[in-house]
Amino acid sequence: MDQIPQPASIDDIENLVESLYQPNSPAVVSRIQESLQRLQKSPDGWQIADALLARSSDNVKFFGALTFVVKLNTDTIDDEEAKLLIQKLINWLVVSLDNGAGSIVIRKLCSALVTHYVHFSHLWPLCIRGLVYCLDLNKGDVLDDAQDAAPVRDIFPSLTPQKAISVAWFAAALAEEGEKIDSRSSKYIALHERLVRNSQDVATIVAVSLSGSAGPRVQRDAIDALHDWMTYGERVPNDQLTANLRPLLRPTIECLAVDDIYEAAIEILTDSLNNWQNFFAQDDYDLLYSLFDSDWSQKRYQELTQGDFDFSSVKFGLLMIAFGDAQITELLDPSNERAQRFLAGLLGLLAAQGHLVAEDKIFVPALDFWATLIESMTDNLFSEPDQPVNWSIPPLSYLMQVVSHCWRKIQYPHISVYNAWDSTERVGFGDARKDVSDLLQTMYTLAGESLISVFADLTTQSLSATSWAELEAAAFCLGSLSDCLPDNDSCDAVLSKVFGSQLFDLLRQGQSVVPVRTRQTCLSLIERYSDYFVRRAEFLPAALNLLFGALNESHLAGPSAKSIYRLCSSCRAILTPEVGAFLDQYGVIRNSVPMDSLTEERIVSAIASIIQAVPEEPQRLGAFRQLLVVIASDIEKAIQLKSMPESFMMEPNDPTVIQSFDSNQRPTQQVPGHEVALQVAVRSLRCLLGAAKGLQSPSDSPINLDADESSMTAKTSPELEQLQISIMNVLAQIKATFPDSLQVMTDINHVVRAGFSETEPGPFVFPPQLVIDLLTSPWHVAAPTAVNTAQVFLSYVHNGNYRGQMRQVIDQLLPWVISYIGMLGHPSNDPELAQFSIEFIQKAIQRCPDVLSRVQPQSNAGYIFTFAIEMLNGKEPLPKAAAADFWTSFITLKTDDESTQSTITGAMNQFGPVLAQSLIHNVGGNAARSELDKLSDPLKKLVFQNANARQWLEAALNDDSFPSDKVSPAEKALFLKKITSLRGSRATNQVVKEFWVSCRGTGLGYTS
Amino acid sequence: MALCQMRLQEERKQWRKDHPFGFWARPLKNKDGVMDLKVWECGIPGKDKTLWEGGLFKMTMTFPEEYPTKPPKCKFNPPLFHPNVYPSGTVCLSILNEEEGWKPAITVKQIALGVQDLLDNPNPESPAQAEAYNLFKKDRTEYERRVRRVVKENAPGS
Repeated sequence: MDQIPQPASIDDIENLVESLYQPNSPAVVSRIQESLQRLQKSPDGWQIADALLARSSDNVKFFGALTFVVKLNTDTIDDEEAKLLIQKLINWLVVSLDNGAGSIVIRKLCSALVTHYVHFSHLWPLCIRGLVYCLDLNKGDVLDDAQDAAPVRDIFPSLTPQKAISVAWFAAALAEEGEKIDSRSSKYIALHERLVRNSQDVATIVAVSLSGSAGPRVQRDAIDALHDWMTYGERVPNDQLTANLRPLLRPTIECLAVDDIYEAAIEILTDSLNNWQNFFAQDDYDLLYSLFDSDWSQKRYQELTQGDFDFSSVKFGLLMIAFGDAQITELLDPSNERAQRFLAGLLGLLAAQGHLVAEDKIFVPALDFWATLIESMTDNLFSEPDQPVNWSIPPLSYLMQVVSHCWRKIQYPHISVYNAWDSTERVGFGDARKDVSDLLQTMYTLAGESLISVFADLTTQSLSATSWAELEAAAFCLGSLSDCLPDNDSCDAVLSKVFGSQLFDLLRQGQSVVPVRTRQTCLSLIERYSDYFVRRAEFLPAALNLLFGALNESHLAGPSAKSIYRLCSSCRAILTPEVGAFLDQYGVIRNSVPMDSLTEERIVSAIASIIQAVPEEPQRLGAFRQLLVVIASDIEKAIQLKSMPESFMMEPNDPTVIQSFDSNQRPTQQVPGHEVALQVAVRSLRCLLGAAKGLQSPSDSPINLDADESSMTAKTSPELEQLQISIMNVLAQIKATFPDSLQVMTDINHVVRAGFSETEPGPFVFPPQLVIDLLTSPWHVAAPTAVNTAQVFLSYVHNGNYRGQMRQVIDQLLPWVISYIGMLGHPSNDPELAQFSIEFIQKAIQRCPDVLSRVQPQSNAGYIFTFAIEMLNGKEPLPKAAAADFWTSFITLKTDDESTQSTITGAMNQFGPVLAQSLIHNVGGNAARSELDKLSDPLKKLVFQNANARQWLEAALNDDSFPSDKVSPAEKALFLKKITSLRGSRATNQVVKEFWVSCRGTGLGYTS
Repeated sequence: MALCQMRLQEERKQWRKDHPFGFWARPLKNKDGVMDLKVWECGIPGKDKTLWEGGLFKMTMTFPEEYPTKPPKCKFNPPLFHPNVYPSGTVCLSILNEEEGWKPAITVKQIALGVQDLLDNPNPESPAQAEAYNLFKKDRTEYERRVRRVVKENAPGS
């Protein structure tokens, strides 16, 4: 790209600066900037700055002032030069003010002066006084006389407004800069001390500006300067500074009533109340209390609560809230009348007119305040339990009004209003509702069951009044409290008011009567209070009928199915006599309503959970068989469709097509039969998985500790065996039909694994041989998943009732796994398969150490070890971690059988040196940092267990293949000494990390 | 009061004042209804216009006694199908690792946003579960199908 020719004259520079403000491509702009920056950094920069300030254009002057800042920050000048420079800068300020230069020029000159002060504060420690004095006399070279001149309070009032404003800007920039400078650095201690000394003069100019007749602009800029000094004072606390600034609070508060400076004043007050409450003295708080009692304040308050949510109106509300936050202790005191009166105002902020979030901008911050207040009340209640609690007087008496306001606010508006909101407003509305439920839960701690009563009553009242939005909000609030209730029947009577009311009848009438959102919220109440239905079974049928009925409606089907599952699962023991009715109902729905896959899966799960609770086996198995027949017939259908020619197409309105696709994926055109076949297969498998999960014992069911190992085999009846075989046949069939679908294969594996967590016999708690037969059949795309199932299976066999069959299981599965490893060649060809295979082998040798000596041919055993070393050397994190675990187990493997033990020792001696080398290469820099802990495990075991470890590790460290040249032989020797002397203790990990960092070189350590 | 408690109270205050859209987070309550500030339950929404949009995933943050010197532990409950979530549900994220990106200045809000960001931007450098990680690497179509399913199962109101 073309370079910009270096400007030869000040005119050229001026042109260049001006061209920066012309429309240009980013590339041109950046070239101009580069050129100008070169000029600024050149030795001529000082002269250029001076010359540019003499030009007429503000842009050019600005650039001149900026150049001074750059020079001050980059060049070194001595005190003499610096002294002259202050005078020059002040002169430029005087001249620029005189010429009527724009504010960008004046502000930049002020910041040049501030930059100067940061570097040379010792030359003009009282900079405010100096600046005021020079401006008064219109020249910079009188700075030295400033200290003997009249005090600032005498000179400042005579400055023109422009000059007064520039002093305020300078003061503001000074504090802003001071805040950025580390107050603990010894280099800047003196600077901060001088800033504090200046604060007296700052306070004077602010006080004079606020009281004077210089006009609102001067007042506003003075308040802004004060704001910056308060921020500085908060960041760099100093008693003197605080004492100097504090008297300014009162005039600032008084400025609130002046329209032109209201915003600046309210901003600073709100900020300091939020962040620096100690800054306010009792007098200031008193003044604010009386301010809030004033007519001015009442007018503001009314405007806000009547729906004026303009920026400045909301600011008033935020000031009230900030004041409330600062006065929490007073507000909690029932005897403090003034505080309680103010609190009533904060209560009213929850009831402003207008829709939440889209219009009403004060509700959410006010709610936040009330949440804090309620938490403080709760804390007090627990820390001082003897204090009397009186709900009839404020502040406690306000809480029920808070509840009522919240309930009104969170009501959904008319649908046309809601639809007109943008997405941010809708999300904001939803979030505010969550905040309300959060507050209600906090309040429950204080109010207890009476809160449940309130919403139960509101629910029934809204119901009688057919006010759907009110009903929705009441049900929402009631639902929010469900988790707070104790695990007993203490609230049942109150809840029966709701569930025994006309609610269910009304909801059943469909959306022509009750809007969908109200129905949805009310239906979710059933799920939330499922414990209640366990105790009050008389209401259960109506609730379930209602939920099943709602499956017809696309909006409600998903949530209803979830509620059905939760209710059936919780109430399974009560529902067992009705299991037949549920199965019938399922059959009816399947044929009449197209359901999404997840919905159907949940219904099946729900029914299966009831089946699980049927006490007598014949009935239980009979019910399950019915369910299985339905699923199996679908799978049959899938297989049949798959057997059709590939060209076979189906119409979109074919019932099978409609039933098999989820509503949002349903095709609108002809669809290949094979695609439908896959959909049907996947959906049926998900249902089968749902059934398997439903049949799992609930986690809180009793465990029979006395059961002996053979109990399960004894208890498995021929009927159950037959069912298990049927399920396996279904799985095998579907597996053979869709061998290329990873989805189908994964789900098959999930079905098989669903029984692994069970200890009681059941249809999915398969005897090992059935699982082995399925696993050892071909898997094509899903071999890793199958091997993963196999390794989980080993834990199942070990922990469950088939432990006695472990050896046969391993004898059948190990050759199968080894054959996969053999086919793989190198772990990197399928890291996933490699990982699960080695995990399987690890578990197998832990359970039966002798299997290794029985592997045929024996060369296969050696192959396993080589493979595990390759995994350890690889780059894939998960296989590497699995290999580390494998070696950790193997190193510590012990058995009583002498011949096996000698095989283990032989293998260890053979592979020890390569293992040591692999570990050393990893900790020598090859591993990722996050892998080091994992890799330290085998290293620690090796050091602790094996007498040859030191020798092997030493050889590896000194071998030419060691990956790093950044550590010396001495460092390596020290590392070895450390890890051997630590004898495998936890501290090894740290030593390993440090060594790794050294091997990688500097810059890679973390600052931990 | 212990530093941990003070900081958590401040975090709670800040979160209430300013939390990102669609998220929720609150300390759990013990049997008496008193808050345990050291265990928070939160909801992490999937980011708009990503595969995860529409899901709201429940996660607990457990703060150690040494917080904020040490980071909280974040755990999805139930465990989540994601390359950087351990089978136990624990989230593997550099800013949550004491030895990597954790700094005491990191806020609950930043953690929540960091985890949300992780959902759609898995870090293949530090896999935590084989299933999601391998699908993410080898079979993006199947990975995305699984994610969509997880999102559907975790959609609020479903």
